[in-house]
Amino acid sequence: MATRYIGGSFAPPLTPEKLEDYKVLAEECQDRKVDGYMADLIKMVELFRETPESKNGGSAHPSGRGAIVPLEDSEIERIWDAVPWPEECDVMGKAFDVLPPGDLRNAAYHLLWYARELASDREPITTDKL
Amino acid sequence: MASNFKIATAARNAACDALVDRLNSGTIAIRVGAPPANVADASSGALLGTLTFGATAFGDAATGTATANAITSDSDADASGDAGYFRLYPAAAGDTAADSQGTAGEAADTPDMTFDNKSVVAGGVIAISSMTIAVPIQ
Repeated sequence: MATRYIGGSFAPPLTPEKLEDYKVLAEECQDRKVDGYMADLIKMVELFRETPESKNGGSAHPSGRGAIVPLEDSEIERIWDAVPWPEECDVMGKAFDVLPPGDLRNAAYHLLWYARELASDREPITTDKL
Repeated sequence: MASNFKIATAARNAACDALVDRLNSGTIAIRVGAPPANVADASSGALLGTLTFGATAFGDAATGTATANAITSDSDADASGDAGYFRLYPAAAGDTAADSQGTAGEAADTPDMTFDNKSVVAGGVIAISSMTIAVPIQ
């Protein structure tokens, strides 16, 4: 039997207040690897916050929800060094997977979700955009 | 001798319809980690979310392939993690009574269920479309 499925995952918006909470959680984290990854991802989100809304047209997301809006080339270049490669995202995901359920784990994966969206060179499709 | 066993299209359609009819009003569970060795094993890994098939989950099969009707998204994901596997359940089935399972991930992972972002965030939305199940010709 063969199967084919296309899915999407959409995270809540990452507000400035939430990002401040995540900074505190990262600083309090005893796992230096997780702490370091989260700090890098927080810097990435802060850098992305300076990105103006893309003027590129959107296309339908394959999951049937939301639209994919590609980032403009100049913005991709500007945030390039702060955005991890997909392979690096997978390494972070493995590190975060040891975290128990709770605020720290939710924060880590929220940041990682943003990284995966930006690694796809598109505006993060948060739930408020669906 | 090489196998030359083949299934007629009408039989493939019938088998496929029988499979997917079991999923009417059923669910799709998305979990963290690798799938258990057998479908009848207890689920492992945190449950990220559950999506629901319609009362008629799939349309009639054609050339051995059935396409799902609209699937209700999970609008409030249960937990945070990277999607690793899924299970398909008939309506009201218990944990070890799934009909099938497969891997989930991004295209680079070559999974059975492809997400374009496999990280799920608690409280977020999980959506699935373009779902097909096929009974091959041989």
